[in-house]
Amino acid sequence: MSDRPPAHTLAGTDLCDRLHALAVHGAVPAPTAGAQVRIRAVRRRRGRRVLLSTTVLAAAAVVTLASGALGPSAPPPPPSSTAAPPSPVQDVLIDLDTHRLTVDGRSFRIGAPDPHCPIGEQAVTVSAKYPVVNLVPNEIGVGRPGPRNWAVTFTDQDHQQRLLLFELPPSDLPSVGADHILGAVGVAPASGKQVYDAVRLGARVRIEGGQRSEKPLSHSACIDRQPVKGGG
Amino acid sequence: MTEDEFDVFYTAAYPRLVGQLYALTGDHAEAQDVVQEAFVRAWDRRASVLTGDRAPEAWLRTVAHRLAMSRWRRARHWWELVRGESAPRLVPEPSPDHVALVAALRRLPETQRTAIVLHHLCDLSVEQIAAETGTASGTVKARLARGRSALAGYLTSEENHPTEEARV
Repeated sequence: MSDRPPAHTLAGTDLCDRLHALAVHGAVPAPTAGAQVRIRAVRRRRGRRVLLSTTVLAAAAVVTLASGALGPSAPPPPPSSTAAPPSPVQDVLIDLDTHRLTVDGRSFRIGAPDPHCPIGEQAVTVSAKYPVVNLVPNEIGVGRPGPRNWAVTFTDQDHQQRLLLFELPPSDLPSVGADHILGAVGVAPASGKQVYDAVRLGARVRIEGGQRSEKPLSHSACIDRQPVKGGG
Repeated sequence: MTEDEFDVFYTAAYPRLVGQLYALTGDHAEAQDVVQEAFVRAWDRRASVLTGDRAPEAWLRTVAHRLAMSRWRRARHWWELVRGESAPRLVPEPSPDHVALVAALRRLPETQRTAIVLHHLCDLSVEQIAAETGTASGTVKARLARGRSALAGYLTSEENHPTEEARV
């Protein structure tokens, strides 16, 4: 004969009471604010988009490599309905004489580099974009250190990442249409974000006009020519 | 649901849901993780989930429970190999009664534990449980009866032979 009591001794109300007590004991206040949860949700969605894009790109790369490796005797791969056609390289024009930047058919007013602090290139490729870049004071204290908003950079012939353009603060409005920027292009206040959004990574930028200098200053004197280490 | 409404809803419902998931999973840390994740997903799909004509708390509980089960299934094989029989991670200073109840719940088959908790803790009717778990009402009734019977046996056993954790 078993010592175990009959199984039906647990009444429904007793079980309810014990479970509710357990749940009350296990209840803990929310560890974060609801806003944090909402932010996490936004990040999660962005992460999924990036993952999806990466997967599509990787698949496209595999298809491209496979088709190249198979050679001309292999049958051509079936056309893919999901892979987007490669977008053409974007062309951007910076005219330092007219003080205009043209991208995707839209034109924006700019301030050009000071003749003593030219960009030093006539064609560059956009290598990075940063909402903010912080410049350190230079050795001789010339120019305004600190943030450069909506910054677009390129890699120069010395393999240094440098500012190509950024948004001028409202106090620098007089620099628009003039040649006062110390080594980069300043986009008119309130237009910086539009230009930043319009210019794509890898865009080909032609720089025409201006930049005539017989005595260019050193990099250290031209504060906007200092190497950019990254955003923030 | 606006952002402010969501924040209030989150603050109010989170503790309650963690308590329910604790009973469903027997793992307090896991309960907090999955409830938090469920809220993230709810906000991500707020257009369909957090609307006036749905019960968001039930949706959250279901999602959190599925998350817990999914994780548990992934880890189960490894866990059994390493630990033999898993011990529940308990909230700080649980009473012997809570330890015994959690241990007994964890010994129930998942389907029976779900039915027991949804019915006796979340106050869902047999028909509501059937709808939520995608089973027939008769199956739910059978799971409830078997679960209660097994639980009674386990609890009696635990009370007569308390676990090491309960004695600490």
